[in-house]
Amino acid sequence: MFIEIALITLTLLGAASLVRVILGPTIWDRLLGLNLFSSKIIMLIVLFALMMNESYLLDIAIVYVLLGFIGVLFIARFIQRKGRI
Amino acid sequence: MLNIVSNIIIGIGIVFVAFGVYGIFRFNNFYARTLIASKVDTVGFITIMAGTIMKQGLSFFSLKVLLILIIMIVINPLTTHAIARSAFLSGYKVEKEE
Amino acid sequence: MTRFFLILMIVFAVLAVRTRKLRRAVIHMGVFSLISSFAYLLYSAPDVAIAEAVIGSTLATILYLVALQKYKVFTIYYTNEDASGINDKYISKGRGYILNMIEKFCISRELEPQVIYTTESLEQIISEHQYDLIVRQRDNRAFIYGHKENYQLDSLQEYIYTKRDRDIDFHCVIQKIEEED
Repeated sequence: MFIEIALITLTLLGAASLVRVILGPTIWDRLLGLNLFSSKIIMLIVLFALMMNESYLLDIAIVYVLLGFIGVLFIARFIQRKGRI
Repeated sequence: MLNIVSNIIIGIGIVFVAFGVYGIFRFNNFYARTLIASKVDTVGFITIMAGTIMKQGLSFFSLKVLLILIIMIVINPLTTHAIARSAFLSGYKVEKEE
Repeated sequence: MTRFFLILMIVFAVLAVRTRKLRRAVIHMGVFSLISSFAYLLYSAPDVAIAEAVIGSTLATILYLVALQKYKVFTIYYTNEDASGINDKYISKGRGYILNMIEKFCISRELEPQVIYTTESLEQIISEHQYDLIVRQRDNRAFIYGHKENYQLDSLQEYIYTKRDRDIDFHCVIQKIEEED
């Protein structure tokens, strides 16, 4: 019961950080919102696995932690070097 | 008893994350937002994972959660640093230099 | 909760299609694949969620960026002499008339506009950064500087003089910079 309330709260907080992706005046604000939302998704997956009590659901969280930052890193580098990777 | 304590710790973590999300609307320039987002969000992540480990006890599950926690402590400040470095080196300045 | 994530997916899919700037569309696609991966998890398909996490969030983003390398980026530095510092309110006020017009020009020429707000002086920008255009604004006068060999400048001047409203009191001066060796 408690974990369900936590899941719904984290979902609302993630949606609030997506507002920064939509509004953000510069492109770096959008990247910051994407980074915040990906960390919220990882918390959601861990709490969901805790609610279901299944340890194989955590594999998705491990894959996401290991690979999710590469996209943000490459976009930041792409902007810094004016259109070259 | 341990269940109630771990519930309270997860609740405190969610409060930290809520402060971080409030901070990205409260401040009105980019570098202040970067500071708030990286620091407060990492602390909230650590607290929520500690609550999860305490709720589950010592098992295979909590070992995987510990692995996620260690990788995240390394990677989240790295990503924020990459974004702020990209903005600074491109010439995005918010204050006049005297 | 599943329904909420599905609504968010639709919102970001529409945003990614409708936006005019391609790098913004790449970020919206990243958010879209992140949400769809969690939606697969809620439909109890964790193996598909892992595949979506690997392909959608990492591989597709890098592929889109490699494709965007062929697109020419048009870097615009914007500086205003009135304000003492830059914040969000200043940006929403500052990107008024002239920047919107330059961005429309870039999109009609199939260039990717990138606006960088700065408080550095003109000489500092010229010596330190790679620029295509520098816009310096004071009250309702804008000075646009560009390199001498930049062939887009003449067509930009023509575009601004034909498309501008006669009612708005706004002056615009285009100058070419000659580099000394």
